[in-house]
Amino acid sequence: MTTLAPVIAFVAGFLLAELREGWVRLAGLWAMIGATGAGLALTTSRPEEAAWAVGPMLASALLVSTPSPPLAFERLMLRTAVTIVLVFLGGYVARRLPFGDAPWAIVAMAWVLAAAGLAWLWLPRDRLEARRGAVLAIAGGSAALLALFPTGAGGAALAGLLAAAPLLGGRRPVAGASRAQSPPASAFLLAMALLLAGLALSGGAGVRTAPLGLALSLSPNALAGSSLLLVVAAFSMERAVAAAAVLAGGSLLLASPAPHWAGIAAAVAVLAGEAGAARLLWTGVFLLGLGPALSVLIGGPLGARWEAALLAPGWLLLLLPRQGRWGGPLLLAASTFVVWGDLHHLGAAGLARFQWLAAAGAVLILVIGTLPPDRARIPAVASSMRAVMSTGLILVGVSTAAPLGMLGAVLLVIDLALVQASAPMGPPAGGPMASAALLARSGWPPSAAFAGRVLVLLAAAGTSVALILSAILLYAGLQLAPALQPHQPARPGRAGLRDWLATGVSLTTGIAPAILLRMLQGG
Amino acid sequence: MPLAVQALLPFLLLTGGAAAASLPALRRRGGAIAALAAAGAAGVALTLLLRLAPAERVDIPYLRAFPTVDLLIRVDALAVAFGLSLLVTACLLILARLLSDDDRRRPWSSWLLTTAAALGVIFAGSLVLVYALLRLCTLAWSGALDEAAPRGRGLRTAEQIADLGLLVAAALAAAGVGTTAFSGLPSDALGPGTFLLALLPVAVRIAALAAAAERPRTPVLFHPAIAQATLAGYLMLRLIAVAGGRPPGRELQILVFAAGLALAALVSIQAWRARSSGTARLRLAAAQAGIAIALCALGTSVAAVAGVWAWLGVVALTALASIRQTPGSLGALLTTAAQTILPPGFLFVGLWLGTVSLVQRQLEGALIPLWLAAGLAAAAALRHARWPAGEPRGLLSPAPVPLAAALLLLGGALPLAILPWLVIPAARILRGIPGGTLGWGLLGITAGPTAVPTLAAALAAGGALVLWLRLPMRRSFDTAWAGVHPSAPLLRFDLPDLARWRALPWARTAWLAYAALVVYAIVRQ
Repeated sequence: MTTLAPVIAFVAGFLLAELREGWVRLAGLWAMIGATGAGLALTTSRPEEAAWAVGPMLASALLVSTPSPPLAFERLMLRTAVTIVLVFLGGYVARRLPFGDAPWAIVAMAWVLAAAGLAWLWLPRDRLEARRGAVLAIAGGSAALLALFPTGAGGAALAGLLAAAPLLGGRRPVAGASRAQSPPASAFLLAMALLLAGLALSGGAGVRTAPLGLALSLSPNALAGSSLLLVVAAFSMERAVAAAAVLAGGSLLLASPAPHWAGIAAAVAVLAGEAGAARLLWTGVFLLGLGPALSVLIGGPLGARWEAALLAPGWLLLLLPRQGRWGGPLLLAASTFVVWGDLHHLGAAGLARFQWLAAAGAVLILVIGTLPPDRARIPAVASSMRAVMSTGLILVGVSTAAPLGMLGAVLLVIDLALVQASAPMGPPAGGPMASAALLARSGWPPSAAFAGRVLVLLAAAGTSVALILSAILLYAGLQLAPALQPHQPARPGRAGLRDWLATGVSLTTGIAPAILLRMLQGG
Repeated sequence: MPLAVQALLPFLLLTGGAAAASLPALRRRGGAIAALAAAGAAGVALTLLLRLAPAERVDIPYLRAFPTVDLLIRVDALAVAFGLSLLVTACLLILARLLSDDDRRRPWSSWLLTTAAALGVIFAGSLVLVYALLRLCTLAWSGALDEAAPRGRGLRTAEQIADLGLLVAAALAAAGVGTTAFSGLPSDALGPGTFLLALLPVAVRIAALAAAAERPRTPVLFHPAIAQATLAGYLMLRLIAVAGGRPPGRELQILVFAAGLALAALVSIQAWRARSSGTARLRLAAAQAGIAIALCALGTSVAAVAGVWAWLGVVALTALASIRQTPGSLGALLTTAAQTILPPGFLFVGLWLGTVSLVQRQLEGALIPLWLAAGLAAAAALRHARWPAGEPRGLLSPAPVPLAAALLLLGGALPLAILPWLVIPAARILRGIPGGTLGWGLLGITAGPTAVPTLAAALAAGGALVLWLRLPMRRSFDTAWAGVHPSAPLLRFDLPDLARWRALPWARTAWLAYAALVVYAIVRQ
């Protein structure tokens, strides 16, 4: 009876949420979330895990609105079919992969919550519903991870609060547009970034436990990654990007799987723009979270294979879609550090599988990058061949699991996320630093891009044949890319502060990347 | 002065000269500043060379900020010899340009920076650093900070792709031994495959040298001698040195030997068919580079000397060929004479040493293609030789050319002027040269039991050349040949129709293949 009540409440809430609008829908959502929270407490035998429910309930309440416009019949049927398929899939996974002594129906609520959210994300009636779907998706995914990896009240509450991140997307008049950020805020972010970088250089502080049982990861890698994300946010001067950077950077510092994954998903929710690209991003985010979950549920060598096999495509789906001037580079940077951290959980066999898939992914990126956008079959692929192929090299660099490869990948991230994104219209044509700015943006030595490419190739040579071959293809493609794309003249006007900073960062890290390596390795 | 400081002086002089030449106040004297800077750097290089002990190798690290790639200068006789040759060549070209009235452009800064970058390649102490500086050299000569700039894009892209071969070879060597520094690489660090990859930059620069003949002629072409011939020669010899004195594997030695001779023969034929003597001279420079490649593949102590001699000669002859010379001038005749390979040509010493090397290895059969290629090159050179005619002032212009060509001819006739202090020390870096391997005197050189009287041969051949140029039958031969027009290019091919290939569903296929691989990764145990 104790386990039946939450399941009945959940089913009733699900039906209300699907078929009704307004406050009735809100009541249904609360029933689903409350039942899932109760299920969490029952599954983990820890009542404090139910603190997870606070965030999604708040977010749902804040997103209640007037009824959404009805869908066209075909779209409605498609959405219904997708919802049924995903919900059954969630239930099937819970049924086939029971966890501990908990009845499968209790565990299934988290999966079905996530499935319902994904269905609303895939085929929303309007943007508000897409946001609601994002809330449910993050809430359900983090609940599933909490059931497998309990973290205590602090972690559970944080994971639930992160489900409210879609609210930060705001009521933008145009999808993808973001309000400007004030210079003092950018300066503050830059100062925080420097602080984190200093901590990384000093060796970090390992794994610590914050109040309420929240586990923090203060390793040099995580600190360096967070620092880089904050720098990107400072450079962007956009509030949404800053919010996503704080979320993603914070997630890197969290050791518990549930809030860690929820942070990345929250960043995606803030940044996700057009629908086609958003679907790919969410699929990628869920694959990243599914891998560790299946490794625990399935267990043994098969579970490890699933974890390794889902990590590569999940990351690939986060890298490919174009997300605006700063959103894409931020996701690139965040996912690079996330995957780098996840690689250390893989065994030798899992790492080998990941490397094969990464090499294949790099070749896929090469193919996609060389096709015209209308034939690439990917919605809104990254705009330039150089960006696409550099992304492929980042994939290769991280998958070498070697410090040299990671350093090369970070340098390429700096090139894409700071240098290229700072001046999408081209380098400044006038002023004393026009040449330096051109050099910093180019692939000539001593730019960060050149250093990154060389280091990735060096690292790949010591790893596997597949990686070195894909690295060679991508490197050769990068040499050809300027010849194959239209010539972009320099923009009129002189360099601004951002151009100066980007140039300085590129040339400094290109000449002396050992500084970055010390930061990544902790002195 | 400490060696660490002295090794940096040439770079400081060149970059300082480039900065000074670009200042508005000094723009008018830019040429003189450039010439002085190059000459000063050459003086420092000469001092370095004389200061080095036999077979001495010094690594000087300056900066350890790039993981596995220290900023490292390697000072040995091979690097300093090529550095000296590069700087003297640059000085010659700058002087020739300065004395020419036909072009008002001021390329001094670009030329000095290109020279500095090329010098950096020569003095770099590791393979990855060589690669990075090759890229900088390409940037310096092309001036294309914007990589998409259309000017010179073809050659830039070709160099970028080919240089990647060197980087891959370096990466594979580093994977095996943990370093790419020359001092840390064992002789088996480069296998046949990686050696071939590392030779790609050499191949593309030789091709660029041959292609330079097709470009519109300015009074002085700087890049063929500095950025192509010198670097191709140095890279080839350095790789041979890393591999222990010969290309790794007998098959690869044969391949390199044959490829060099094939290149020499083909380009010599093209030189023969050239309409102008200027075009022919540049093509002959590429043909001589082919001969030099073949000599490097022989793998004996004598061949090491031959290879160094030949490449230093290629650099000098390319420089002379890069200066526009009036047909019928003394400089043109002397340059042609120096390019004949056979006496009185400068490369004859290298050719003869290569012959001795083949005989020592009991490979007399290989003498036929070697001498055939040399003969073709000599014939092509003689085809365009003209007896000087015209006013004395025109005969001697551009001023440094006749003097430089005469010095080259003298060097070929009297090898003892160059061998002991420039060529032999550099060749020792490739492989050991036991005492008694080579001897030299006023009359000629000896290698083992054989000797060649270079002075007598040069004088005799020079006399024969004069006779040939003055003979009446030469004029009728020229008249007969003038009626023969160069025909269509040897090779002709059409690009395949790509429309059919573009229509294939590449994206869908790629995604399906990737998905199948993911499933396989899960299923496979």
